[in-house]
Amino acid sequence: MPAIVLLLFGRGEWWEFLAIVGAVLLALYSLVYSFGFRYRISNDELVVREGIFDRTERHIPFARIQNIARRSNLLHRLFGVTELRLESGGGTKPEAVMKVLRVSDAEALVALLRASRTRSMVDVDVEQAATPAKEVLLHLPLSELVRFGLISNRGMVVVAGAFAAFWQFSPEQPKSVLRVPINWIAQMFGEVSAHHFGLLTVVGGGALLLFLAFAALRLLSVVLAILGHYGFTLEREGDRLGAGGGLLTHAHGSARIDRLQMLHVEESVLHRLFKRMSLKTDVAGGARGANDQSGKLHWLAPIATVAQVDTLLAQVLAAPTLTALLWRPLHARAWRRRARWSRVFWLFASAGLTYRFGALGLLALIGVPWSVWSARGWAGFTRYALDDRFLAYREGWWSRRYALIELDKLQAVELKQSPFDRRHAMASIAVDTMSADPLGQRIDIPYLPVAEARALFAVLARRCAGRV
Amino acid sequence: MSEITATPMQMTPLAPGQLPLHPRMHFVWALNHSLWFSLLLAAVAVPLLVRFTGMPILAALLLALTAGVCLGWTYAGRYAAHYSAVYLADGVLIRRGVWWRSELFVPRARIQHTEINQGPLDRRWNMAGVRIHAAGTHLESIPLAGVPLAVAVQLRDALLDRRTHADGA
Repeated sequence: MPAIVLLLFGRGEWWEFLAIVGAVLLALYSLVYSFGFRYRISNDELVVREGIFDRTERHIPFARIQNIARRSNLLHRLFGVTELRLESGGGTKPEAVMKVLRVSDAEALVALLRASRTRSMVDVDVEQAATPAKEVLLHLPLSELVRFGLISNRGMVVVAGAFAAFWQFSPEQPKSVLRVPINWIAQMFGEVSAHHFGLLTVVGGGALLLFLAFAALRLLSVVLAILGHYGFTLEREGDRLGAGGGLLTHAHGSARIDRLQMLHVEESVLHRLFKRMSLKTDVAGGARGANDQSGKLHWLAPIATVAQVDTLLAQVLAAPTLTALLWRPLHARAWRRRARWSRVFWLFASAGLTYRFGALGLLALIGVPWSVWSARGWAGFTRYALDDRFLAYREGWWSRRYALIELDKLQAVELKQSPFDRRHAMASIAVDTMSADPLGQRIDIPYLPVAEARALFAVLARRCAGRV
Repeated sequence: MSEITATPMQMTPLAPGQLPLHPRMHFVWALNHSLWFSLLLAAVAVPLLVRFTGMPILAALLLALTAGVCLGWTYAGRYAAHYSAVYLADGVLIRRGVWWRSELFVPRARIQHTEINQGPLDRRWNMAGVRIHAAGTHLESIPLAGVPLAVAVQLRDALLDRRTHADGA
């Protein structure tokens, strides 16, 4: 239709003609493509075929389909069709998308899939009918939430976001936004010099001002923490875990314990100052981003003492405590390789700065011992542990994190060697798990002696395949 | 449109062991890498040659193409030498990479679904690619390079585990 309009009323420019050809080709392509789309149902699987020249045939066992989503927009409804998405337990994309399906066919397919689900899939309704006793595993009092706010520093994020938004939507020229605080400061300094204060007073006043700004940000963080997690409670009800809290909106998530995947423990510098940690979990189910995350369990403990985290690990997963795990170090020369690139960077930076600014540039050489020191610190803490049920990994120096996964929840194991690894007889081991944050942290153990990495690879492969 | 299946005679269960690589796959890799190397050289080396040696553009392009094909062919040889896919009783083990090498094991129980893919050349040569979809996050789709069609069909049937909850969800 737009093509016809263009043809009739266009001024005959060559690019208009090209656009018409493109549009017609695109329409033809999707038409031809839809002819190539077929699906077939055999006794226990769905077979989907796509493509004309490049043909793909996909076999999806019914047992793997965890979630069925139906969607119809106005056009769909106009033509009496619908879109069907079949999602499995993991991955970031649905297993199959049927863009245009007759409603009756879609209903028949959904009914068939529902019927083929075995009793183990019908978990929620049956188990909640029994209502087992609730057991509170963790409750956060206000004092802990204050600590959480102080540690998390969400206020800084919010202020930065607000500043960015203001910058974006300011009707004046953007620089005026910056000019406001600059004018303030200039004004203040004007007054300061007018009154002939001593140097000490000026420095002291500046420090006080900075301190006040810092305190205001932290206060905002505390307020946000209380709003978000007020009355946070983690409780167990039979084989389900539920957690939630909040002052204005109460967010609650729950999951069956056997659906928990990787556990993450975070211990930043501030955490350690307060002798606290935080505990998060990934939960299986639903393609990430495809369905809403609101009912999903995420925090097991936004903040808890080390002892509380150990107790939770024991109560929920019967896992050993973080200190009781048999931590094994990386390759003895791991720190050298860790320090190498930053050392090279600092040397070049220093050379460049010296060339530009003279001897002052040599100051950048301080970066060299710093990178060695921090690499040694990192290699000193970074360890992995393997017992008969869990794989654990910890890394960091000042800020630390731990990750813990049950061996029978591993999805794939990979042994990787870069050219540098091969030169130093090292290798790294990475594992893949379900429903992890694609941008988040995973278990990827670097700088292992190659023989040890091979042994670890063999054990992990055996365990995740269910060979014991 | 015909379905991707092998003849009934070939439908015996797949025995564990190294998966054969279709003889044409080496050619496909070589073609692929030659193209990329040629494009890279054309984008980087040709402007430099023309600017600093005064070589005519056409000659520089021809040189880039020749060098790209040579590099691509050599790289494809190295790639094929380091590539192997092994079907085990309980999963698939894939080794690949020339400089950055990786060994990847995906258990059979974790495979969500499988895909067989055939382009026009694949159909002509009776070759197919198999793509394994696992439930993980970073390695959710793992390609197995060109195998003979009959093996691809056998592999697809051998890899699907149809029990519920076998995937650790």
